[in-house]
Amino acid sequence: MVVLLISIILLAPLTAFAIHALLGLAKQGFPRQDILSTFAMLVAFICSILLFWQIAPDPKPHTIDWISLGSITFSMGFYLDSVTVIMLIVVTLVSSLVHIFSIGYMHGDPRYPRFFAFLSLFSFSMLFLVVSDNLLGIYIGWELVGLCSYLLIGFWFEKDSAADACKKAFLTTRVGDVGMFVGMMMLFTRFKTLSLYDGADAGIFTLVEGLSGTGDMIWLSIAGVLIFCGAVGKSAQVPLHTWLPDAMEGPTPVSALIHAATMVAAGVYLTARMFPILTTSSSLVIAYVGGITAIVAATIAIVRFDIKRVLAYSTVSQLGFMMLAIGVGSYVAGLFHLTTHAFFKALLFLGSGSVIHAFHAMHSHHDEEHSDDGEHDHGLIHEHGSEIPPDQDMRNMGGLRRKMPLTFITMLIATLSISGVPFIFSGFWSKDKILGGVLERAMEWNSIHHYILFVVALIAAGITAFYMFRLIFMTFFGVPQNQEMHEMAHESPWVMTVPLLVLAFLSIPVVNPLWFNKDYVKPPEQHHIHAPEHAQVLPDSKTRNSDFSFAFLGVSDAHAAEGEEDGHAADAHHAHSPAHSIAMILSIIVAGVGILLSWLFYHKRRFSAEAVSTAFRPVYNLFWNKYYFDEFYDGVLVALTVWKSRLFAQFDGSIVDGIVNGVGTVTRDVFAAFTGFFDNSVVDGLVNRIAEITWAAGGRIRRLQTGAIQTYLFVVVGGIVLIILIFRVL
Amino acid sequence: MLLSLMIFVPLLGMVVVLLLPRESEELIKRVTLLFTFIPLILAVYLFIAYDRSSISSQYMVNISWIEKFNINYHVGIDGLSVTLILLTALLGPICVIASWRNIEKGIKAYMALFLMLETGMLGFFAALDLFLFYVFFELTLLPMYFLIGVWGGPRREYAAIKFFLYTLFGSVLMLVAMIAVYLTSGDPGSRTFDIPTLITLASTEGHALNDLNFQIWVFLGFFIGFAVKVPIFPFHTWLPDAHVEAPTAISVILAGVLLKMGTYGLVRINMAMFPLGLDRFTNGSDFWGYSLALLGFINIVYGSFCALAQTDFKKLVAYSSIGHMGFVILGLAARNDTGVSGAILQMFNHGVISAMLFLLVGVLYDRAHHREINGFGGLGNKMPIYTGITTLAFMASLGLPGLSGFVGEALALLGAYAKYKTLTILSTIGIVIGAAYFLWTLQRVFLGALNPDYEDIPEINGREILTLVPLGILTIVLGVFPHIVIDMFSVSVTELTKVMGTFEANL
Amino acid sequence: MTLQHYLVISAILFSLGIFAVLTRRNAISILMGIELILNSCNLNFVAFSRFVTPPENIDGQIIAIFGIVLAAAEAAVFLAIILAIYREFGSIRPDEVDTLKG
Repeated sequence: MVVLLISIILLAPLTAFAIHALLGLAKQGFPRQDILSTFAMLVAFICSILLFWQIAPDPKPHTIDWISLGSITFSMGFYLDSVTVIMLIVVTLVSSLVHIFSIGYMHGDPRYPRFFAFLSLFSFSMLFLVVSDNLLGIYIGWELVGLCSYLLIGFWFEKDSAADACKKAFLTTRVGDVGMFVGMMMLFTRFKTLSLYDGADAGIFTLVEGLSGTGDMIWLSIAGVLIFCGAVGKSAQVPLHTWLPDAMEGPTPVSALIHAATMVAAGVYLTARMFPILTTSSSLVIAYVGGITAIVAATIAIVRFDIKRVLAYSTVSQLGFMMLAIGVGSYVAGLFHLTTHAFFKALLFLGSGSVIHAFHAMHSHHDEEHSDDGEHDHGLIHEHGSEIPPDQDMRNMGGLRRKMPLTFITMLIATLSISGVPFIFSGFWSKDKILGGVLERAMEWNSIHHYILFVVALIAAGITAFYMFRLIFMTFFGVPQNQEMHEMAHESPWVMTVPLLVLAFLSIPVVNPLWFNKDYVKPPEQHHIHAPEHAQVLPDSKTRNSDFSFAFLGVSDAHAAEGEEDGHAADAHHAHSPAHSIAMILSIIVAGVGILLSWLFYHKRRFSAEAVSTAFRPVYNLFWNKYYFDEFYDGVLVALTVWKSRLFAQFDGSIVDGIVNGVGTVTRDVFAAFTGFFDNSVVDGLVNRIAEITWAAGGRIRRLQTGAIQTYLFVVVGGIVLIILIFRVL
Repeated sequence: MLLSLMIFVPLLGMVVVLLLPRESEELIKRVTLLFTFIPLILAVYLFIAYDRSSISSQYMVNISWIEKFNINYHVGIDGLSVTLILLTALLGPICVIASWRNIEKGIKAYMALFLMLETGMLGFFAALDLFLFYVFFELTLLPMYFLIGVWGGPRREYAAIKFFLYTLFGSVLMLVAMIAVYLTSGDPGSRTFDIPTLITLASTEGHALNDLNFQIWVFLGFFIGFAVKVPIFPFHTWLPDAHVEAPTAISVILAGVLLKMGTYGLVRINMAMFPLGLDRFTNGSDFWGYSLALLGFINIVYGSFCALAQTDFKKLVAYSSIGHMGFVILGLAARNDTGVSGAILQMFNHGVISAMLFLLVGVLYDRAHHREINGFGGLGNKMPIYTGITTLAFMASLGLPGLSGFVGEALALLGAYAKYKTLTILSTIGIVIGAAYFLWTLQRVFLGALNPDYEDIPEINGREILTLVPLGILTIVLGVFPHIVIDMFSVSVTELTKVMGTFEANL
Repeated sequence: MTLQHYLVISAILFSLGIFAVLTRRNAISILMGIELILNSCNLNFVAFSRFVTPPENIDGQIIAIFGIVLAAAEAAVFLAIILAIYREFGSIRPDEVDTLKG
């Protein structure tokens, strides 16, 4: 049953893609191909829901041998535990909603069927990634989603900015993927397998338990960090985050599906999957990368005016939170934030898509393409970030809440959720879980690193609230900034608003049931995480660490909270340590401060953002220029690569080939000159003499040929007579 | 007998083509197609009927040829050669179809030479006698010289002579090494060119062939001969020139099959016959012990960087071939199951993918009459099917999982990492650069605003699609089910690496 | 009559033929000389067949008949050539036809 359901889940979108592709090749595409993809996704979604009740408490991977080479076998298969099922449901649900939304949003696009074909391929790849039980399978899905991301970012490839962005996305993530591949090579060489779970043979997670000793730990840490590199690329963590904001060149539904809810979260999912092999030091690296990403992206988001880029940086920042959670061992918190974020961020993107769509009616994508024929600088990486399309510029918006009430309300819910407004919004719970997890680890280990990370995460959370409300105030409140555009703005059709409503509904925790089943998600054990010497090892900490639960919905901690079954939010206060309550109070405070400041700045106009930015010019410049990452990459790394390639090519053309041609020339000119001389004077001289002699002789002998037959005959007869006489034959 | 039939059917076809009148071009083309199609059918049959569990050569024919020197007509196939024979036989008809409209002069001579080339290639992969092996090796050289030199681009003569001299230089060293092996193989009277016999003798304790110094020198002789063919840095500079000047179909054969002759020789002769010599260059104990892997690494990184700098579409693909053949060398240098299997798989896959790439370049060249990458732009909208197929081929070539290029490269790298950690990690740079130059090309040719010069460039036609579709399907199928090919040679590879395994144990 | 008689006759015929071929200035006469040479040979064949080989062996006679047939064919070819030469040069004198002179 499980196998059947998974097969349907995987095959439905794949079949849809195959049909699209064949129709495309045969030039037989028809306009309603959207139904095909959407239907396939809905089927996959229903199967995922059915799967929810099917999973075994102690799952085994279902595998088949893929490649057998002598003693080594690479298998392919799937592994189904609670995390997989949750991911499946999230992916299929968001994907279905995005499909439906796209029917409205992409309406009238000349490549409309192709869009749905790519969406189907993406959905298949993402689902394949999610269910794979081994690193090779994950890597395959990993690269395939990268391909789809490439194709969809570059969907409007006539725009140079889109063409640049898709290439940048692929290449940047590929850098991370290579790190991941090296990590896989390390694990493979050590363990002779890439399967994670025990099937016929022991998988990596079992084999890893056997490692011990300092050397092994260093090795395992490096392998863990390398695998994490893949996640850094795909989940847009610092320093490989620069592709994600540029990826906003793709159609907005794509941003919602791929660059907010699913593909970028795959990095977090991978890191979570690799949880058992993480060591103390690799965890710390992950936590730091996550923390830095969270704050860096959040600060950049403050100063953006492009509505989609604000959301993009916000996504980067939130992904940083998830990484941070996994890095501090809060497995459940990280994955919980992944799901809540998937819903509310997809909602925000689709909402922004709805706004863009509203502004878009008078000029379609294609009018825009042709107006965008600036300089054709086909550099390897080219930066286009500074020009904001007018329909995405928040400075053109304002006062939209009356024009687009549904979009406004749903986006407000999502914003409240991401900002961490307490109790009724899902984002609050998941973010609080992360902050609590960080603080708990800090207190438990008495570790300065984790205290720093906690403070960083807290500030980032505050900034998140600030810039998200900035977005809401600039877009929906105040007076319309661009009267002409405001006039024609309208609420979107139902195919676009229904997905918004569904997602808004899912951003409220009471209807988000997956996670709140007691012990539904159990973190795997980490054998190589060791508290430092000076840690205040609290009693029972190990148990606690492995058994977070979502106390706030009536399921409290298994060991200490039996009395608190009545299930209201206050129970989130953790029974063991004050960490979670402290974290919760602090997070409410920072969110409140962030919203308040935003209100003062952008709604009440009590303070002027311009004045502040002038006062802190260097800091503002730093944020505005995105910490100069792009400049660094373009100016240094890309330039260096291109320079090196030119150098190599020149070396090849002039030196290597030069030597070859040189040898040829030397052979011809020097050696051949000598032999030529010898040849001319000696060998050829001899030949010429012979020829001359023959020629002269011929000149004389030819006189004999008179042409008169009878002369010849006379000679013949005379000869015969002579022979007879000489030899006396007769 | 079936095997010999397959090898010589194209030669028979050559005779038939020569007998046809020069004017009936359509007939000549059809006859050529027929005579390249028969080997394909036979090769598919051999591929299917091949006993995958046996390590010995199958379909053997062993007839005395030149008795005085104990030279035999000895042919047979094992898993490795049957794979490459299938590749050769597959590319035969495809190249004929690809040449259907593009060859403007001397179609009769062209087709006759092409058929001769095919016999040479098929025979090379099946030969089990060193002398025969050499004869077939040289047999490919002559038609190739004329095919490039007569039907090539503006600098065809330079390219053809460069190709010819380079290869000849290599094969002379190979000939010397071959004669050395022959003379060492026994007393006068019992000397032999028979490859299986020589392999046995070379691993017999105390035999003159089983001598480290001797093996090192003959290894080098053969190695340089094959290295020119592969081509391995620094013997590679003939390749870009030859590719740029050669007509499309000949580029396809050059990249698809001729380069594989080099790596095939490395496996068949250097690895199997001279394990001691190979060990010297792959044991990883000192500089020489790293040398083979180092050459692989240089090929990968150097080829990729050179490709990145090219602005000629065909030259770019040619340099990318150099880079991808580096993975084969690296995998072979790993000398374990994973690495060698990956290398052999990569040989096959690279044959398919690079054939596609050259066909695609040819399609564009036929329409635009130039290959300057920067001279295009925005073709994606005008030629959607062509763009789609090109994207597929590029993605396969840059090693996207799910397509065949990935599996071979991944296995080669996984195998190599077990032995050469640093070099393998450095080689992964090639993966990123590979993605960079392909995507950059994709952008410059297909994305962005349409170049007004190509306002009405015609879409790829049915004949061209016909040449690409079989390869495209193969790329996808082998990406998803690589075991179809791997199962063919995994037994042979295990046998091959067993010898190497004993060295590992001694380390 | 003995063999000698025939041989002498034959020798005379042969010498006459040679003489005609060498001295005549007309191609037709040369042809007649050649015919004489051929017939002297035929005579020799028949004579040797009659006197030297056993009677049941008639190889000589057969060869002679072949010779006659051949002579007829040869005459036809020769005359055709003469005709062609005449058309080309307007003469059938061999000493005037010397285009092959070196």
